[in-house]
Amino acid sequence: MMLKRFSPAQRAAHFIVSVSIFMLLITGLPITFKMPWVFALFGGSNVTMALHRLFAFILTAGLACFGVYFVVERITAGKKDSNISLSPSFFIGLISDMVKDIAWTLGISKERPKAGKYDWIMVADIFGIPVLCLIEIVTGAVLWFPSVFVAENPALIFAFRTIHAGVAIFMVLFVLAHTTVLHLTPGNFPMNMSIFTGLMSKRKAESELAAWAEVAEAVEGKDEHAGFHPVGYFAAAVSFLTLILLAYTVAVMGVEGLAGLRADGNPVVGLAANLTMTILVVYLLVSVYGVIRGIRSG
Amino acid sequence: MDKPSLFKMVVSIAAAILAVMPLLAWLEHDNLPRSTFGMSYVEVQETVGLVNSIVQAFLVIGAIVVFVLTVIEYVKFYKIYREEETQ
Repeated sequence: MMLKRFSPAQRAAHFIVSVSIFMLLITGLPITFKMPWVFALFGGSNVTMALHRLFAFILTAGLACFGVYFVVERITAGKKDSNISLSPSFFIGLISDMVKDIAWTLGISKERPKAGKYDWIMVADIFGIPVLCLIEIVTGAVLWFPSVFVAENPALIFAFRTIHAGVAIFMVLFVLAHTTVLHLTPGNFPMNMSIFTGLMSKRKAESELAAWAEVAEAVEGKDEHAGFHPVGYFAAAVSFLTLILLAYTVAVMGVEGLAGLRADGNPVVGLAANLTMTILVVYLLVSVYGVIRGIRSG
Repeated sequence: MDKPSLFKMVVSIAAAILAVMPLLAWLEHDNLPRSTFGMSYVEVQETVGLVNSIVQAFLVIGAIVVFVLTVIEYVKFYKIYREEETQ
């Protein structure tokens, strides 16, 4: 038995926003990490920047379109099986769930909170990603059109560039964390198909999102039980290694005045940058594959 | 397609167009000459240096928090998986 987890609009929003973010990171990070081979791969820096701006358009349009769509849907169709609300008690409850959840994970508590459709970390993702994207869109617009935003003092674009690059690096950290937890964990590896098919197995929902499993709409479907392959541990280890290398990278980045944050000539930083780029390309391809599989499965 | 869906689609597509319209309009603006940037380097040196330091501090803290939370969440899913397997 399967449960209806994501609507077609949610799946489309996830795909468009994630692919845009992957492409923006792939075409933008080579500037901060000084990776000329990426520019060469795309046919030069002009083509790379044109692609960067094209996906900035897509991300801006996608966020506005789906953001408004979900707000209107919430107003017209109501809450349905979602647990998200804007009330203070909801957010207080999330903090309480977070503490209880971590306590259970660390073996301090024996009882895990019964999560609704979106647990505390998913809610952080749902609210956090649009905010990060908005910062990137605004700072990106300043870099793109300095004559509109900083005509009085054009060199201020260097400050906006640092914020733009800094948030981009944080988004890489987010992508790695999000994918490691949702796709590379036992029970999910090699690919958690929920966001692509819109369905989640009832068995899995009962153990991960117990409160939601009680109210979710059930549909017929085959529960493909994901065992765990040793390759999953290797994939997770690579992801954790990249997170550590990126943490090291941001710590050793030099503040070079107007040049912003720079970290070149360090082999560890080079490894972090190349691993990150490889992972982003793999995730981009896997996202496209997942969407095709999701559409084929109906 | 039912009416509410059509309504939602029209409103959301209108929002998307409105969101990208400023970008399209600004494409017509002339870019500032490079020499203009050079003239204001000295004025912003201090501000940019401060922003660099703040962004770097946030990034270091963010990287550590993200790493720790990822480890905790990985362990959580591992425990859930073990529980499912023993049931």
